[in-house]
Order: sequence, then structure tokens, then C-alpha cells
Amino acid sequence: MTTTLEPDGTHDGVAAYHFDNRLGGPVLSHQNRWDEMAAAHSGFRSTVARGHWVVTDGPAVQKALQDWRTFSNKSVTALDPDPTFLWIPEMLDPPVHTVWRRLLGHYFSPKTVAAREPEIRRVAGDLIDALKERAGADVLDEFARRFPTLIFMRLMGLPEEDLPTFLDWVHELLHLSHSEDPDGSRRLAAMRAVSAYFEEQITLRRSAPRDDLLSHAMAWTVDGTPINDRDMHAFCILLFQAGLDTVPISIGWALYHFATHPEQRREIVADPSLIATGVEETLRVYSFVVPARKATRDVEVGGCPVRAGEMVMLPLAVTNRDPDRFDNPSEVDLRRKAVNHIAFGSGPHRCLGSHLARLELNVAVEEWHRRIPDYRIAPGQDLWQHGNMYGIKSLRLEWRG
Amino acid sequence: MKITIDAAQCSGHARCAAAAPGLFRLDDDGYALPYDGDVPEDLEEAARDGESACPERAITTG
Repeated sequence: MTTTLEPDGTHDGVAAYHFDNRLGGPVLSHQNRWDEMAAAHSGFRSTVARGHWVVTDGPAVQKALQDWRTFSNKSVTALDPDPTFLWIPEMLDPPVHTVWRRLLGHYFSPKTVAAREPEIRRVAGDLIDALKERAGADVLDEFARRFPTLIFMRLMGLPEEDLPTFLDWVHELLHLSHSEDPDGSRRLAAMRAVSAYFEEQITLRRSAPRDDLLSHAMAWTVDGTPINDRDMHAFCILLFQAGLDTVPISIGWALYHFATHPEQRREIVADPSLIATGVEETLRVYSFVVPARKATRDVEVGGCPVRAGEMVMLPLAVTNRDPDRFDNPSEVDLRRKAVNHIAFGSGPHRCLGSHLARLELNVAVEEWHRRIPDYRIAPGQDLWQHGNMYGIKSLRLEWRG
Repeated sequence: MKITIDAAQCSGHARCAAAAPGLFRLDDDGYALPYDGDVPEDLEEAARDGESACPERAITTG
């Protein structure tokens, strides 16, 4: 099937397309389509719903992400310019954003995260040990989704027996296609359940604080005022939304990559010191996050005449696969010298969890290949990636027989 | 050789310290600290590695 977009006229003199980023497609179809669009345009108009702008010039995408004064985080969803919900700190702008990031910075700093490495390695190793004697598995459901979610729950101080419930919620919230949830009622029900869960966890800690991130955060002040339950809740929802699906998606891409590139797999097995660059390269090549910002003033970006209040989509794939920034941009190069990608975003909203995510990803790839060095994609699958964030829907690998 | 770090541009990716751990130092949150003085000659290549590792291009050597 083709994933090339059909033109839909022009808008203010700029090429327009019916581009709906919510739709899924075959593996890598979104990334390849970004390459096509970036080769043809520096920006275009999407005519979906009320319409929004899309920037496809690599440097312009990054510059917009860095320019928080012009491109606000009041909305980060291209199709929802006036959200009724708030995610903290993602949907805040400086200076309040800066206060939150300083408070949170320590918990997610490279040093703090590194101290958890033995524990993170143990959790990954135990999960893979349970799989290695089998003939194969759906590695997303049985490893990639469980491992980082367990680490997240430990960090937040949430009971591990809630893991299956958490994984169900993530699925219902983020992975349903239009035909599975035509009126959005399943998604809404999951949202309400997550919301009620965190309300309960916050209440528990108000009466009896513990030694966990949630309890610590509840004792913080922003501009001299203690954080209220509403903001605490907005923080929990963000960590859930932003933190729970991204590492599984990245692990999925790394395993997909090394399953489909057996020569590179043999190289990292023989020399695990190549894994660090391999991980950075899979983050870059399979870029799956598509941020959006809301213009605070009239501005031209990527050739698009953006008006104040309009939404602008800023796909990271465009910068990370830009041939002017990287030679052979769509190739994973285990020996690439400079891998200065922006898979974790750019500017003040650089992914708060990036250091934790990077460690988890390196540990996952190292521990996996130590135990299961040889594997392949099980035959008979239509490999499909979700829309919005491009994660593989399911990935069955086999390593015996 | 000197290293200039644009603190306004640094967003705490911490890639400079990963590329050249003996040279770049980070604050408690993982943002690059200023580098004072001259880079020892044997660390000039490491300095350039740190420069090219920065996603924000906040580091200049020379």
C-alpha cells in the first residue's frame, strides 16, 4: 500500500494535504513519509479538523522547539488547541515551567538515575531470564512494556501488583484504533480510571507521606505556595501519559532493528561497547515523537504564515533524518561519530526522563543480547505501527527451532 | 583552545559529558557547567567530540 499523501489544494499559498497523524500504518511508513514531505516542502498545511501547520524543515523544527516565547506549550496536541486538561510540567511555559523543572531535575538527573542502574539491570535480567527458555514471544507485551513500567512504579512508589492494571490502561488510552473505539468511550473510561487511581494515591500520601517521588513532590512549593492536589494530579497524569509508552516503543524499535539487521546484531553481541551508539542511532532513525506547539504571535516558520493561536506540528523525524545534518540519515551506523539527535526534543522541554530512558534502553539491549543473542521476526505477521506516537503494535520474535 | 557553553541554549541533554567525561562537568540536574581556562592539548579532540555531541549546538570550541 502507498502512504504518500494526496494534495488537498493550498492554504494561504502553502501546499495543503489531508494529513491525519492519528492513523497507523505499516512499519516505518510514517518515517518514510516524513522524508518525502521534507524533500518536497519546508512546511505544509494539514486540512484535518480545524487545520494546523506542519513544519518539515529540520533546522526550523528545532528552532521552533527552542523558541518557547513564540511557540507555547499551552497546547501540545495539534488537533486540540484549547485543551481542557493540564499536564505538568509539559504544558507549562517558563517561568513556572522552570520552577517545576528545577524541583524535578534532581530526581531525573544523570547522577540520580545512574545510582539505580543495578536495580534496573536486575529487573530487566529477571524478565528476560523468564523468556529465554521459550521458543519466542511477543516481545512488546512480555518484555518491552513490562520492564520500564515496573521501574516507573518503583520510582513513584506505586505497588507492583498494579502492573497488569497499568498496562491495560496504557493500552486503552494510547493504542486503540478508531474502529476499536469509534466514539472514544473506552479511552475516556481509562482516563477516568487513571485519574481516580492517582487521586487515591495522592490522598493516601497526604495522610501518611512515604519515601517516594510522589510524597516528596507533595511537599514542594512553587512561588512559595505548596503544590495543591489539582497540580499534583496534573503531574501524575503527565508522567503516566509521557513516561509509560515511550521507552516500550524505543525498546520495540531496537529489537525490531537488530532482528532485521543480523549483521549489526552479531557486531553488538561480539562487542557490546557498540550498543551505546546503536541505541542513539535507533532513537534517531526510528524517531516516533511528533510534538506540537501553539503560536503566541503571527510568525513565519518553514514557509508557513502562522497566525497567533494556531497550532504547529514539529515532527522530530524531520530533524533527525535530515540529510544536511546526518550522512545516510536513514541508516543506523554503529560507528557514527556525532549522534547529536533530538529524539528527546530540544529546548526547555527536553524530555525530563531522557536520562532514565537512555539508561533503561541501554540496559534492555545489553541484557537482552547477553541472554538471547540470536533471534528473528516470526513469520506471518503484518508489522504495523500506531499513529500519534509511532510504536510497533505487536512484535513476535522467535529464537529457537 | 577554549570551550564556550551557551547556558541559555543548554537544555540538559548531558551528551557532552557522555562524549568527553573527563572534560565536561554537569551540575546536579545534568546541565553543563562553564569550562574555565585553556583545554590541555591532549584533550582537544575530546573537547571537539563534546561540541559535536550537543543536540542544541550550545558548545563552541576554538
